[in-house]
Amino acid sequence: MEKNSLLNYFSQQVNLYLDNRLTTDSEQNLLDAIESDSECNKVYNCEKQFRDFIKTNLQRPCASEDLINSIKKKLD
Amino acid sequence: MAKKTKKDYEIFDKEFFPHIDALKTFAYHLCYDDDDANDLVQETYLKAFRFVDKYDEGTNAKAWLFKILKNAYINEYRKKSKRPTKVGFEDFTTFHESGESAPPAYLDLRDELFNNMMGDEVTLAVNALPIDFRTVLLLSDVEGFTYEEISKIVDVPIGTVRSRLFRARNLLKDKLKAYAEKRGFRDFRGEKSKKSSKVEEEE
Repeated sequence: MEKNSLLNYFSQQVNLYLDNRLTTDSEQNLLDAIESDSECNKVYNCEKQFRDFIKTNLQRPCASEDLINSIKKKLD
Repeated sequence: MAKKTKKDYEIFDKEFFPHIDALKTFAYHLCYDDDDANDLVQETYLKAFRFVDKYDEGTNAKAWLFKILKNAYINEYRKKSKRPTKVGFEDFTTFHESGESAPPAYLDLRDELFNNMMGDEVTLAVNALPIDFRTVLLLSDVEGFTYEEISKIVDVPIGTVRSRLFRARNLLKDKLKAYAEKRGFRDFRGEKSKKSSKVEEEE
């Protein structure tokens, strides 16, 4: 398999792992690769950091008191 | 509307209302507008209350509410969205959902690249994704829904959830990289590896 295809496959595997979609065997194979192969380790860290970065930095506006009161008022 | 019981109000307070901030965030990233997002959340709760008898107490209230919100958005708000996506969704998915052989996208998260990238840029990048990619990304990576839950909320097969997520994340990385480059950052590592492979080829 050429390098791009291999990395692409690995990137997908990492994403499936982070999404809890891998079987026990596939998960173990992936964890072994992460530990033994520096390129795989890098892909894993990039993917994980990326998700944390999005989760931490995305604006998450909260519901205002006005909105909550307006909904409650309409229910009564 | 059928008369609501005390139990209905209890379900609403204990199981529905705790998710209001998550629903507001989701609505905000669908509508791009705070007032529209508030209207959408309000409509979601009023619909949930109207159909509370269809909800099984103690099950997945969050997923149920998100599905109501997503449907309300498709039925009404999508039409009047202030910044509709410019990409025709069907064209886009036909190309990208089969595109798993595309080269992987990586994002360099070194401090000098991302120290100055705040929520605004990330939010803009997420909001610039085509709506169906944005939806699965928000449901998975922000709200933590499983593929099965997303599949039910969005009404698509699990395989489609998986491929949309993969493409959404790669598109987002490309967009963030473009923002970073606008700020003057250049990632020379790719060029370095291109250069060395060129040398190898020549040799």
